[in-house]
Amino acid sequence: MSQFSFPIAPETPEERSLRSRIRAFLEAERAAGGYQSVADCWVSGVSPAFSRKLGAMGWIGMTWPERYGGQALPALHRLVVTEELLVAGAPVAAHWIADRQTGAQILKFGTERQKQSILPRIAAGRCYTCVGMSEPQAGSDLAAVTTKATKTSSGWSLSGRKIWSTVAHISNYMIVLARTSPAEGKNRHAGLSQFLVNLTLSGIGISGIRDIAGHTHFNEVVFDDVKLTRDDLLGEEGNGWAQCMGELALERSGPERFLTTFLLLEQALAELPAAFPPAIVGELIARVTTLRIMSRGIALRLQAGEHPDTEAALVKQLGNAFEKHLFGAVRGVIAAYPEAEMPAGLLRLRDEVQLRLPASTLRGGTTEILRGVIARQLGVR
Amino acid sequence: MDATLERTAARILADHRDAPDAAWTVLDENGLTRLWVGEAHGGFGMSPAEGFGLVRLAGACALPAPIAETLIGTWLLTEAGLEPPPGRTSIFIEGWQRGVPFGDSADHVVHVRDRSLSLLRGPLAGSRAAVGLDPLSDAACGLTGSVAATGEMRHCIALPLAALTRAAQMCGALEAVLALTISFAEQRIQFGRALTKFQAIQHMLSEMGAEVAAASAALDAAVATADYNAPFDRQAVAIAKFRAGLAAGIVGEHAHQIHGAIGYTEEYPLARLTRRLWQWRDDFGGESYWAGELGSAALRERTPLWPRLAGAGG
Repeated sequence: MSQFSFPIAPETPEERSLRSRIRAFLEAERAAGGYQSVADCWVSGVSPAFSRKLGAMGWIGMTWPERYGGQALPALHRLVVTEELLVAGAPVAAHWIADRQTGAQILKFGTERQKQSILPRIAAGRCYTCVGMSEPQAGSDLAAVTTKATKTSSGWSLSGRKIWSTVAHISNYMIVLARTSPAEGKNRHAGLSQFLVNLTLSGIGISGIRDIAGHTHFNEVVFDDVKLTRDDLLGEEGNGWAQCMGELALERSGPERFLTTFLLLEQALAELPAAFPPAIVGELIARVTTLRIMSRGIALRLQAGEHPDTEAALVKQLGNAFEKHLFGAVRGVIAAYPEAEMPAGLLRLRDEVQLRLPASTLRGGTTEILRGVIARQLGVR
Repeated sequence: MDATLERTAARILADHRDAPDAAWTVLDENGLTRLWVGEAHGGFGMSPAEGFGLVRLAGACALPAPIAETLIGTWLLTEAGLEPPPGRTSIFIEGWQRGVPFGDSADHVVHVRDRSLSLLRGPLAGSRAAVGLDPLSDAACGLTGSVAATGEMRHCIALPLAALTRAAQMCGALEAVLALTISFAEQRIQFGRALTKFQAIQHMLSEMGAEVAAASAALDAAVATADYNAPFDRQAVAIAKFRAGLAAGIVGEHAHQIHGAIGYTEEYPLARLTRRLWQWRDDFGGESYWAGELGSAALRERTPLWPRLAGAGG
């Protein structure tokens, strides 16, 4: 039988009604000038004001317990919300990572004080976080990180540098993967720990890096003898690698791996309805619906406390491939006409997506890394 | 699929792997060929998922027997209010087939035109082996048997039922191809190491695994919508058949590439699976047909796509 499991569950009336509510909210916000749709909005659309509005609606941290600002709702409800936000191209980048993974890590591994002080602020859309995994010399080879935390009398001293940290420049916290003891022989996964680092501490320098489109969403973050308390260690000393893999399952499995360019398809269909061969549209429908089924299955399993890490890698890989397929299909339709005859707004969006697309198969684990993860589950690696 | 039923079916299929007639007889004796017979006609009241589970297992064994066709035939007969006869049944859906699978050994053939159904006595004369290895009788000169019964179905279910059944057979075969290819790659030594040690091979296998997983998820979702008392959810069926067909292409190609020349022989078991995959993906509408149907339905209304895919309300 199959090495992978994606349970099927029908959509509930509660989910459908939630979908109606968020659609109505987004429609009203857009009409009132609250936001303009952008492609790749979970990385590109930073708007603390919009994040606070979502927080006020209860749509951030919605799966967390009520005492930490959440609503203890099923993971599938969060999936409904994230799908709608992505398809609308809403500016959700400020809080996205905090809602998706940092909050969950704090909930799972944080101290009671951290949970009480940070989670309600995240849920209110007022506290933002970023990922501290990659380093200049540790990209796909994550276990090669050299950022180091050394024990001191009062806690830890952190030194090193992290790179490609999306939204670090507006973040309050970063979860940093650092080496706390040497690798055990060939086992480089040992001796790594996660720290919840307040980015206002002294000794931290954050500088933006412009991407190929000239936008600054990711950063380099330097730590120079940053003094951390014992409580800033997140989870268990030496358990950083395993914690990191759990965090990546949250990072990889969501609809942001296949719905960041959907608005290009919608706009092209609206503006050139007769130009699309039905089979091309149907193929995109089949692919995206399958991804939604799989993403839903992962949400169900995460909710049940399981660890669908490989399934998450699988959805990310198929999802990234779908986004490139979607772009190829839409671009192909447009390319059949002289550009002068094409709507200017559609061409602008096409170009915007073109410039964002190369990042999709790199961030959160490259295609090659994901294939390795899948191959391991198949028992051939 | 029910765990006990699955164990029984898997055991029978494994015990009679090389004896299709014996496998058929034992499956039949255990009532497994009548999983889709309605209770009014002596069926067991099994959910549709049980039959799809069985053909998936049979697909993994590439069993040359009309299990899928018999199951489809009994569902169609029940839908038309007719008593499914015992024995081997095949199907002929007008407008969709040139050949009748296993027609030369069929006791009956269920002939469907839109909602009208006739039950013909078999077997049909003559057969040829097509790409899928299983015998096909030419419908144009073969459908001459006497009519045992006629009826009218409540809904137009023949095409989606047959397509979804093929998707289930394909998922079984896809999983078997993947397993066979992994075990071959583990054992085959070249350049002093197993093929699985080569990253290029690992990546091909992971791509195969991803396609199989996607096809399987799409199938499960479609099977969950199947209901004896309602027309099929055509969108779910279309997606399942599309995904299985897509996977058949990629998985078949990589499996043969990894196997090398041995996989291209008649003797080695790979072709028994891949040849059927190549047949089944074109049976009852290929990827383009089902994608076209999905796309046409979406384009007809000229409304945004997303609300059609993700339902809201309440």
